[in-house]
Amino acid sequence: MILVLALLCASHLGAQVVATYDFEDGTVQGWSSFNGASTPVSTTAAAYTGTHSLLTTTGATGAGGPSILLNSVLLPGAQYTITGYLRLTSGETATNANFTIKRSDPGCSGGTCYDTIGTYQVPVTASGFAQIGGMYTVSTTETGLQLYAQLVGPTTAQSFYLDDVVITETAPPAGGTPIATYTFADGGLDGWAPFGSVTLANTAPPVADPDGDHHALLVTNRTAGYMGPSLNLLNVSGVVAGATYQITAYVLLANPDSANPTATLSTKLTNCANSSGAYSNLATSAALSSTAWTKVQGTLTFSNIPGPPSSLTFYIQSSSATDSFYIDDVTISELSPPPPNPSQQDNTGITTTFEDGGLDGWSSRTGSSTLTNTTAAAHSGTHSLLTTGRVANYDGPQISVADKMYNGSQYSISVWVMLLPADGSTHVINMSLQVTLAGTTSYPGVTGYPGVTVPADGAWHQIKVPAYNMASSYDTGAAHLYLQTVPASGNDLVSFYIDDFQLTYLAPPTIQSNIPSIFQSLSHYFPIGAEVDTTDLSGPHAQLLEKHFNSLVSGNDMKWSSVEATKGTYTYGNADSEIGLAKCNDMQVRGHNLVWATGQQTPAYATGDGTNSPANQAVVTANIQEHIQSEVQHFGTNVYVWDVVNEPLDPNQPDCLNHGPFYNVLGKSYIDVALEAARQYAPAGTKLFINDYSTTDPNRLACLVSVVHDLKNRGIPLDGVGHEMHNAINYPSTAAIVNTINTIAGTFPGLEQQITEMDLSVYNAGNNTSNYGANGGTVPASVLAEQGWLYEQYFTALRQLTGKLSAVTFWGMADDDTWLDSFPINRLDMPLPFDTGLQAKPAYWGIVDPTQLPGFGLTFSLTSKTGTQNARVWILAANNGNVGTAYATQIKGFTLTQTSGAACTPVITPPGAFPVVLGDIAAGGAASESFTIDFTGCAALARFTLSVPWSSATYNTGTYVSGNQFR
Amino acid sequence: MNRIVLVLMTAAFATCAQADSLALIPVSGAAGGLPGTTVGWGFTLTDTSTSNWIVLNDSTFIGSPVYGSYTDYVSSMFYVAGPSSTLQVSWNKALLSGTGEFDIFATDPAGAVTPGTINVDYSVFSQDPNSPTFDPSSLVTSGTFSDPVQIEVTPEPASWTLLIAAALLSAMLPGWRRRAGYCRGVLASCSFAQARPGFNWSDRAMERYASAFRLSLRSAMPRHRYASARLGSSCIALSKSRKARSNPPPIPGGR
Repeated sequence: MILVLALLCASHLGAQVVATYDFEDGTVQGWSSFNGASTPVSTTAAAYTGTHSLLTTTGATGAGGPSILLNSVLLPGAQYTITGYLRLTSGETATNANFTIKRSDPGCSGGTCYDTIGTYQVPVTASGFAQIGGMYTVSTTETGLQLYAQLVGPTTAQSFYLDDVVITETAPPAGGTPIATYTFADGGLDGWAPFGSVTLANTAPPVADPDGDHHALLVTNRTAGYMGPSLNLLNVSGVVAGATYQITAYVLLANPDSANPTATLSTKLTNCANSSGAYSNLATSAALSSTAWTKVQGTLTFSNIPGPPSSLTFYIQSSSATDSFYIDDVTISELSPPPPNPSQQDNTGITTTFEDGGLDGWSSRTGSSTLTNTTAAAHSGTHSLLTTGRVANYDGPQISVADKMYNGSQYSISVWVMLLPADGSTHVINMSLQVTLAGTTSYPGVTGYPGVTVPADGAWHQIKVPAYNMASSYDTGAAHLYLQTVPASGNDLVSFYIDDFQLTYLAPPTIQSNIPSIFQSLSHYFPIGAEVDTTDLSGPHAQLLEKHFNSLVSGNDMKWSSVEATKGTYTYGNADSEIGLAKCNDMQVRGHNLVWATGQQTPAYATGDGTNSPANQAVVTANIQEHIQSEVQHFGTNVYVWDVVNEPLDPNQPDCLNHGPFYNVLGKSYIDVALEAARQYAPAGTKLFINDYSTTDPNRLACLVSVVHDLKNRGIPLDGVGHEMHNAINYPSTAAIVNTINTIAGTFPGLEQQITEMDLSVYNAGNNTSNYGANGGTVPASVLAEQGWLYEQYFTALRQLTGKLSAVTFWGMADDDTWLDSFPINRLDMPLPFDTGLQAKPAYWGIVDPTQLPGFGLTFSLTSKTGTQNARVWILAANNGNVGTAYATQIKGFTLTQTSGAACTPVITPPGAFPVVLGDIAAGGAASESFTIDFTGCAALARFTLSVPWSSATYNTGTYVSGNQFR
Repeated sequence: MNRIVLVLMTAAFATCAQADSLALIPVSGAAGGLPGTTVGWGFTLTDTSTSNWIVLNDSTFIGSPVYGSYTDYVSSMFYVAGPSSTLQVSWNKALLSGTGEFDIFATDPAGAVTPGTINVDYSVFSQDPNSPTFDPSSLVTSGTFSDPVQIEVTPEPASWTLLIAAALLSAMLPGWRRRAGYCRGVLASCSFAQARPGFNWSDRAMERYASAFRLSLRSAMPRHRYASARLGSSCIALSKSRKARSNPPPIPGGR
């Protein structure tokens, strides 16, 4: 028999209503008489809410009341709140009342206990409803539960109404909320099936099974360790992605085995990324016995990333390949639910300014320290909160964030902190969470460890986490945010002030679904890739990736230090996840990178002792070969191109090569070793690249040509070169990019080229000081327009390099995650096609559709000619289109070329020095300037061609040429 | 019979008594070509006034630069339409005749479409700009003709298709030439109807002068064109807009 216990709402956070009795349907909803009371009836004579309540009269002695059995509602070990509203009928004398549960339990004296729910003897009257009830934790040994309402005090019969009884689970039982239990008591297989060629049979075990029903599942005819009983978890109601489950099973050997075999709980999951299946072991038992059942318990969680499972098989295997065994009493319990739906949360956040003189919900974390609302200091207003008398580093102010912060949501958290100069120079203040789930407490850091260094200078300092991802579920009420100190050693019990605490829910961005896909727009030319990390694998970032890109490269997860930080120990999980997303969405994957010439993100062991001794050369050669073999074989055909050697160039060296740690050991042969190893171990057809930056610089381009020549001449395998293209808004020119691609294509026919790490900083190259984000600022719209027009130039040129360029990859997707926010300094940069809210920028339109760029459609024309021959005034107008502002529009020249008539020389007087600035022209707007021209000596029939070069947003350029102009 | 002629003439006059216009050839503005080739547009310029001359100054293309680039011919030519005349100019890349050319990038995908607009700037004079007595101060107004265009990148035919197409083309060429010659000889009713109400010997003299001058210009300056009342024959695309900008008021806050 499958006993599905309390299949409760699977998407709850912690608290969930499990039963409500409002009597609005006119029935008693299962309530009955208890202990001599009258049979309850539904009535409209009174109601707490709605129109109905339950009317009952006690027995003649005042005892008894309405009751209901809760055996199937309440779970052993779980915690609930049980509340209801009670009112005496008109004319009855005021008295007291409460809820009580009559509990049948072997642990109770006489087998029965009476548990008061909440407050005992709540005053009740006939004039209004009073709430009764409270918290209740169900005994794990109970065998029966009966809830009833009673009056305490009356000795004669009294009547009362009961309404709106609500039972809410506030904490699941230890071990989670049972989802399904398999006891095999009905003699069947309960949905279990063979995993491998085994035989399953429902039979009575030789040893009494844990639940005593004398039924268990016997597994025989095993011929391999993995073979055993299995269950399709996708068919188990209530098992959903994102939740965490505990699975418990009991195993008994059918026959003694002196080898002491164990049992292992395992899963096999298939999805779009892995049709052959990914295997996981949840737990392994102690040595099994044929005389006693052995319990084995593990936890299971799975996700819909990169795609929902197509199958999820739970099976039990054994370290013995042939032993037969029994299983029984398999229980699946939900330990924590999946993240809730944000729209159903309380997203109002928390603000505490202490201006009301109170503590605004803050309390001492230990109960020992003292929190005081004070006017001695304030960040704003006149009040703040002072914490004194701290007894430990972890002691400090805390505030409940239960039902304010939710698993899976993102928050901005800010608090101002002040320490007095008398308290030393600096202190490290840490902001963390304390959450408890199913009896287990954890302390996720908010600021990161150790925290923020705050000067003790009497000034206020902000501790701000702009985007904190809440990743914890918790039991009802069991989530607090707190501040503490983290000294380098010992205790730091300094007192400190806090003020203006702000917790703000950050709604997830929504990507634009009605704009063209970048990769589809460019599908004729080359694949479009994006650098990703594991935060891009779900939610709107994944949606953005899937919509606009058909290739990806892992930012860090394939680098040597990520996959093999310790020699021989491999960590491929993150990269595998990224590849999984690519496979589920038909994306190509670039591999980046196998050997980084400069030694960045490379473990120290890779270069041995760093010397070029023959012994160390052998070590490093072996290290490179082993690392490359392991990595390229792991990823196999999932990676179509590898940056085998990253950034090998240095034009300041006579051999053009970076003299980094690998070079110092092996000389230039480290490149040979790497490329040859990659060729040897990578699947046939895998492209092998070297990758470098600033290849548009003439000296670096010359070095690239030189190095490739050398490799080619020596027969070292090389299929292509990668141009990183970390560009700036003023560098390099489009012509330089075209020149680089054409130079390589012309010099090395057949050598592939890719742009591998493209972005476009909003700062000029070499500007290591400016920060548009200072003082809460942002990048001006004019700069973003300029960037958009430069992207337009780039991509108009790149399209025409089709055949010479096999891929273009951006280093990121959106400005919310760019390495340029911390390079060359910490500052706001916006180098990518999408902004921090994942919305299309002018950069995007410059790539996909330039007609949507601000200032598109800007045209020039002559609007009038007036004045005498020696002082003709020509008015030149710039008319903007309707798309957006034409920023920084300027006239860069004004020349007349005579095309007819006797030669003469008009003298032009511009309104000012060139460039003549027209400024920002709004969409649909116009601007004009007057040019005075002295045509003395020019015949009436003399004709001229006017030429006016102009620019707007720097890169929106043109020349207005107008012929047949008479004076 | 007379009544029918009168009705036709009246209808033609009513149709053609419109503002000055420039219609592209083809009128639809649609052009197509293989990747790496060049397409372009001729035009028909109609001067409906009885006393003004239209001089074309330049043309520009407003559209996405993704699939090609535009080159103006107009600014390097001298296109003039005299009073009550129509000037028709075919596109010819070698002669740079027409409004301009659109060079389709060699890397473009077949089927790519570039919608846009060709703007042609012009000046209107009350005197003949070719007359020795022309005074530039006779400028009456200036403006821009705007015509929608659309360029489509056509697919590369397979080689066998090319061969068949070439064979068919050579077989059809004589007939095509005959038809083309026939078409060139057709006089449109527009010019006729437009000329008659104001016809006089002065007009006839002007026509002769203009034609002769045109011929001399053609021989001496092949990149110049001149038209008068009887040159050309189309009143198509009379609905094309003309954005007159005669002596516009100063633009407030233009800088």
